[in-house]
Amino acid sequence: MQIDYEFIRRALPDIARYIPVTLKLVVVSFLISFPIGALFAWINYKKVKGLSQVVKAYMSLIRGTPVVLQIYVIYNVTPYILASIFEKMGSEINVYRLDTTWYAYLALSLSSTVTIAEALRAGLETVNKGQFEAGLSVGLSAKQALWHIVFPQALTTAMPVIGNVTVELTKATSLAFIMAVTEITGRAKIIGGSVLRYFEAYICVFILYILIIAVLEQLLKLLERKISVYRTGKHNYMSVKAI
Amino acid sequence: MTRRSNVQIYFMVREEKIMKKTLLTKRTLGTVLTLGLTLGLTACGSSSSASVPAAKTETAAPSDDSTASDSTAVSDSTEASDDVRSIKIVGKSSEYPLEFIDDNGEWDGYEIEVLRLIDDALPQYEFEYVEGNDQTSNYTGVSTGKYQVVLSNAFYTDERAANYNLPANQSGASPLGLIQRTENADITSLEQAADAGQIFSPSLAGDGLTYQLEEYNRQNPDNPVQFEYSDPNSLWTDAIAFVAEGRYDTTIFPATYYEQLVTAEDGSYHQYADKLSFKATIPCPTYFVIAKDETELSDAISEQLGILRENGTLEEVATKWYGFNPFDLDAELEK
Amino acid sequence: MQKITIEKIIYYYKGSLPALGTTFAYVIISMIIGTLIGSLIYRLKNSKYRIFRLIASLYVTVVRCTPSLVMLFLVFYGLPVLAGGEVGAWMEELPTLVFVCITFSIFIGASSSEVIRAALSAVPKGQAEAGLSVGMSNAQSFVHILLPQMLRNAMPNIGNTVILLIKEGALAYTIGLRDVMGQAYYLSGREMNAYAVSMYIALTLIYWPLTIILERLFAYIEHALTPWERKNRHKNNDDDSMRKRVVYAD
Repeated sequence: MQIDYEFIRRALPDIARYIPVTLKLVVVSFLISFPIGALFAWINYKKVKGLSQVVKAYMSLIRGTPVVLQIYVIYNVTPYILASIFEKMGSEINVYRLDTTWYAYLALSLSSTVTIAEALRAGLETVNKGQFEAGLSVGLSAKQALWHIVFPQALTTAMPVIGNVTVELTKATSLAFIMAVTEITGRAKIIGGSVLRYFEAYICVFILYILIIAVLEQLLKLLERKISVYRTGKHNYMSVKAI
Repeated sequence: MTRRSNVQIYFMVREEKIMKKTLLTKRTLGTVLTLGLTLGLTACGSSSSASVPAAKTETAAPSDDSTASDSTAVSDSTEASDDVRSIKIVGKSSEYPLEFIDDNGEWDGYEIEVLRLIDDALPQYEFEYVEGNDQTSNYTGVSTGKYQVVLSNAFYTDERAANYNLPANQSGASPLGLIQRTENADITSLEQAADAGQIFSPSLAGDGLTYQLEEYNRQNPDNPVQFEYSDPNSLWTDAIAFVAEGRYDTTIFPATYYEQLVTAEDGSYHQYADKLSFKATIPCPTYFVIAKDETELSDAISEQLGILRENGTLEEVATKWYGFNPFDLDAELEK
Repeated sequence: MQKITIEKIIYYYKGSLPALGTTFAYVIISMIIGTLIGSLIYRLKNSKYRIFRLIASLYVTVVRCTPSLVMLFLVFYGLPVLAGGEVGAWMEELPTLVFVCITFSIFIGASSSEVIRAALSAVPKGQAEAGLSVGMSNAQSFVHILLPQMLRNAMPNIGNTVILLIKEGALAYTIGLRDVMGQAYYLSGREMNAYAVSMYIALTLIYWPLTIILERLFAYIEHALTPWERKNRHKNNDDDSMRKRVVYAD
């Protein structure tokens, strides 16, 4: 087989037009998983009775199954469950008209929620208990002490992991096409399929992912540096960051 | 015999086939696999017992050297025709009744039966069937030279004609129609569906069914049908449930499968039979898709297909697998 | 919604479970080859020559940025084309499993170089010297002193990588590998996916317990490799697992 460089040259810009879709998937999924992850982290940290067990079981389930499987389940099962719920409630909402992208956000955020929850909880553990009390002693409310003192410190320790989550999330968007969301991999398959040049189309996607993630990593590095002003003491064993 | 043991036997056969194909790496791979499995089994504890048969075959396979000569015949198209050349034909292993691997690990189905007849008539070739369960991958494999022929109940598309060899003679017929919920039963053509603003179930990129929609939209830019692209190979069967449950309005579907999946009492989707209606309206011949540089092979297969069509064998085989004669239906729709 | 039946779940469970052999095969092979590549990359990263360091970091960046799905596809179809000629033709004949092993070895090669670095840096410097001072050779001190400690340090990461591999390998069904996922898809396809939901449940019932067993197993191995810490070990093992997770994501 000859590699059709001309095709790559023409396809690359066409596929690149779908980068915003990929980025939107990353951003929205992240925005969904961060607060939920933080909540889970808090529940686990505080060992809230009952809830903490539920959260742990959920986390173990998500950690224990392949992402593709999660995607298939979310895409093929949730609509029917939602439909029957709405039907019982007598609601007129047509679940099936819902943009399929929402299933993608949901499915992609499952894994990152779990990783973020773990990272933040580990982050919380590393914050010296005295810090919280110090906050109280200078007249902050418990809520304020948490938000202004404990949480930022926990975030600094968790930051490398959160960076990893973002990178993983970006890579996982390559599976969104299973849910009929046309992002870069999907577009590559469509135009690759239309002229039956799948291999070249994949080379384009390969190049684009490297570019996207390389830029993303630089941004994350900047962010990490910004946040690191909150770092105190030597609790930075978390920064053992792979690669 | 229970199902489980069928599966196990299937595995033994299957693994053995794989091992036979890889003579060069066979011994090392076999050893590593065995080592891997042994470690794996110890690691897996309670769930390990079921993988034992697979482990056994893998250890057993390296002792079988008898097939050394088959697999050395690699794709060298300049080879003299008196040598028997092995042709790799890739297909999904679960496309009943088109092509599938049965419980005994043997390939069977309409396209396979037709190919066997052709194989018998062509002494210079020996067909070898390879399992590949992703359509994208299978087509790519044919363009990269990994395989020579791909089976997928393939329809004609301009791109396929340009990038591969489509034999002049068709291998089968697969009349198409729209699956509708019974209340929309009167919508039977793409044009009517477009008029009614119906939304089609997502279509597999690069697929023949999708091509029908794309082609329609190319010709009717003012009144296109609405559909999205998606990825899983199961899309077209998922569509039956999608339409029945109201998730999408309609889908384009081959008549041969509708009969067997929905209409037939024991069809996998018979539960939706009351909710759905189907009428074939679009004639559609199907082809074996052959690698671009395999003109000789393509011509030979095409010639044999012509003979089989002429003497009625194709229709006979098709009727056997589908329960009706799709060639007749196709010819009728053509009028 | 599709009917879910216990019989179908059992059918898919029993049908797919034997394919665990294939799953373990690629996991173990990729771990071994990947670690070898990783050691090489680690060496290159610490090389005197800038060019080698550059190559190493380029490799790691590229691999880290590539989704498994894309890499599988590129390796499966690209390698034979790249190799070309007779080697390429020979590669075409290799079973899918080989390409899956190559793909994941490439991934492990990148992540393990970092695992090796972390594991080595956690061993106090004096340890190697202590070995030399009692008359061991360089190699001896590595094998008897550094390696066991490194292994212990790396164990959480090894565990995570194995679990990750098992899950990522599920994607290999797209190029026709019959691992657990591939086998389940094959069986489901034979029934025209009419019982897909039962299949998902069966797969969950295979993957989830497997992950839990492996997590426990690796925690146990780590524990067994740490005789000197057994007494005053962290009571709450979860804290440790958090640290493990850090590196896993790659």
